[in-house]
Amino acid sequence: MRQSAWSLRSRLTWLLVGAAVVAWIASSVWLYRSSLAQTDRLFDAALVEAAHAVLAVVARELKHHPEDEGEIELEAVDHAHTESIFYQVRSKRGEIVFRSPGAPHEPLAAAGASGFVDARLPDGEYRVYSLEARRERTTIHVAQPLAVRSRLAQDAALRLLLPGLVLATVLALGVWLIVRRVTAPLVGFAGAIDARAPGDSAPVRLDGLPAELRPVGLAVNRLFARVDEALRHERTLTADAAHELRTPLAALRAQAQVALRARDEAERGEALRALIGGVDRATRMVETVLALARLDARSIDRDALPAVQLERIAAEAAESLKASPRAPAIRIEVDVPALAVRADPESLPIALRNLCENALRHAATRVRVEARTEDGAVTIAVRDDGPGMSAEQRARAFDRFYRGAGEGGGAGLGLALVRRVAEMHGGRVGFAAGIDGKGIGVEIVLPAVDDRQHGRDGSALT
Amino acid sequence: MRLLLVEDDEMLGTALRAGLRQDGHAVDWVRSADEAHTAWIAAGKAAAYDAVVLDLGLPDGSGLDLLKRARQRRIATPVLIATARDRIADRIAGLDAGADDYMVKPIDLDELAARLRAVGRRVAGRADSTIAIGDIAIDPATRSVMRGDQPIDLTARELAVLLALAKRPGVTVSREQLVEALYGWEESIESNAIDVYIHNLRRKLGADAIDTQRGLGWRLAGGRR
Repeated sequence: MRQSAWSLRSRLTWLLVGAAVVAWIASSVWLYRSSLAQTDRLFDAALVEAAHAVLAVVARELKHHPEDEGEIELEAVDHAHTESIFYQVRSKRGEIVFRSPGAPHEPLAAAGASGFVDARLPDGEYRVYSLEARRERTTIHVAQPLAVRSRLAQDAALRLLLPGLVLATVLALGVWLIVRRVTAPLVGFAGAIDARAPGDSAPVRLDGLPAELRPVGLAVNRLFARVDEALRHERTLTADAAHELRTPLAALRAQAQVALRARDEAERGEALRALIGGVDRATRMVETVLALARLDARSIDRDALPAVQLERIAAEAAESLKASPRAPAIRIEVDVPALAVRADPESLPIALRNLCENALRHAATRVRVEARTEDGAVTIAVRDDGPGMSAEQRARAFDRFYRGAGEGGGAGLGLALVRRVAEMHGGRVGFAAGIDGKGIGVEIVLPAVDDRQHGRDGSALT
Repeated sequence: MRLLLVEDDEMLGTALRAGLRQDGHAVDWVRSADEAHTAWIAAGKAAAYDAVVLDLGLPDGSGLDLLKRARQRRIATPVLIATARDRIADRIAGLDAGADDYMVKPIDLDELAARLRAVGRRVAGRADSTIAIGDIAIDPATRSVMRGDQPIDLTARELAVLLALAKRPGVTVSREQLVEALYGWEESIESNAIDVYIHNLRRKLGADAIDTQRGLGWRLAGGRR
C-alpha cells in the first residue's frame, strides 16, 4: 500500500501554528478569568467607595435638615462617573427615602443588610453593597447591574482578544516563513537530486545541509557511488568489449577477403580454415564477455555458500585441457587433497578452468594445479614453467582486456574474470612462483568461512 | 614491395599478411613494438622496407611512440597506420607523428593495397599511376604490363621482380636486394628462384629488356630501343 505523502513543511507549519493558537487560547482564558476577577474586585471596591460617598452626603444633609426625610438632594454625588451605579437610601423605618435616577423601586436588599449580595429583581440582576449607618440610622444600598458588569468584562476581554488574534496571524505567518526557511536546504537537496540527468551519479553537494540531514546526504552519496561503480563497470565492459571485438571482426573480414581473392583452391582452403578459427575465437571472446557480465551482475551470499569438492573441480579443469592441441606436449599435474570448500559452484570452476588454460598456453612442459589450507583459508595455485611475466605485465595482467605480448589469441579477459570470482568470494588473487624457478603461478586465496553456522552439513560432506 | 607488418593480433596479422602476399608484397610480420624496433629502427639503413603497416595498440607500447622514435632518427620509411582507434583526434595525432596514411579497422585489403601503391608513388615522386620505362609500361593497380602495344602476362612474383627493378631504372639491383624485395623472413627461397624469374621476364618482355651485370646483378634497360 502506498502511503499518501505528507509534507514536512505543512505539517510543521500547522503543528506550530496549532500549538501557538492553543497556547494563545489557554492564556486568553486564563487572562480573561483573572481580569474578570480583577474587575470584580475593582467594581466591588468602587461600590464600597460609592456607598461611603453617598453616606457622607446623606450624613451632611441630615445634619442640616434633620426633618426633611425623603427629600434629600444628593447633588453632591457625582453621577457622571457612576452612571452604571444605582443607590437607594433607606430610613430607619426601612422606606426608601432616596434613590438615584434609574434605580429600581424595589429595595435592593434587606433593610438591615450589610456587605455584598447578589440580588435578583424583576428588571435584572444586581450586585449590591449595603452599608448600615447606625448613627444616621439609615441603610445605603449601592448596586450595579450584573449585565453592565459582564458587558464591561466582555469589552475588556475583546480588547484582550483582538490584538491576540492579530498576533496569532502574524505568528502563523512567521512560523510559515521560518519553517520554509529551515526546510529550504532539504527541499534544495531533493531538488538537486531530482534535477540530475539520468546516469549522473556525481556526489550531491552537502554544504548547507543541517547536521541532522547530513547522514541522509552521505547515505545518498554512498548510494550514488555504488550505482556509479556498477554503471562504470558495465559501461567499461561494454565499451571495451565493443572496442576489442573490432579487431577479431576486422580479422574475420580480412580473412574472408583473402579467401575471395585466392587464386587457387589450396590458398582459398587455408583462408577459409583461418576464417573458421577466427569465428571460433570471436565466439569464445563473446562468451567470456558474457560470463564476466554475468559475474558482475551476480552477487553471492557468502554465508550461504554450499560446500564444493575442490579436488573434483580441479580434476574437471585439468580434464578440460585435454581437448587443447597443446595438451599432448604438456604434463598436467593435479595435486589437490580431498577438500570441501565453501564456494560458488558456478563461478569457481570457470575461474579455475581459465587459470589452467592460461597455464597450458604458456607452459613449456608442465602445468601444475595445487591446493592447501591454512587456518581455514584455502589457497588454490596453478603454475607453469613457461617464460613467466615481466613486472609490467604482472602489474596489468588482471586488468580487463589487457593482453601481454604474444597473447594475440585471447580477449585479455581471463585473469580479470578470475579476479572477479576471487573478489566475489571475499578472497584475492595474486602471482606466485612457477615450477622449478621457471614460469609463473597464479593463486586464488579463499578466506576461511565461519563454519559454526554450517557445522553439520559441512562435516557431513568432508 | 617489402613491407613490415606490425600487428599484435594473431588472426588479423595472419589475414593481413596473406592478403598483402596475394598482392605480391614481401611481408615481415612482428607482433610487438619491441620486435618492430629491432627489425625497423635499430636495423637503420639495413632495413630495406618500402613501407610499414603499423597497429597503434601494441601490448608493450604504443605504435605511435615507435613511429615518433623512427622519425626522430630520420628514418623516412613510409608508414601506414592501421588501427581500431577511430577518433578524429587519434587520426590527427597519428598523421602528425609522421604517418603517411591512416586506416581504421576493419581494413579492406584492396583499399590497403591501393593506399600502399599511392605511398609508393609519392615516394617515387610520380603522379601517374603507371610506371613507364622505355616502351615498358607497368600499372601496379591493375597488375598489367605492356611492351609497346603488346600486353604481357606475368605471375605475381615476376611482376614483383619487375617492380623492384623498375624502382630505380638503369641502376643495378643485386640478387640480395631482389630476395629482400620478394621474400619475407618466413618464406623459404629456392636457390635459383631469382634466376628463374629473370629468365621468365626476359622470355616474356624480350631479352633486351633486362641487362645482366655479371656478379653484380641486373638492371632494367627499358630505356633502349
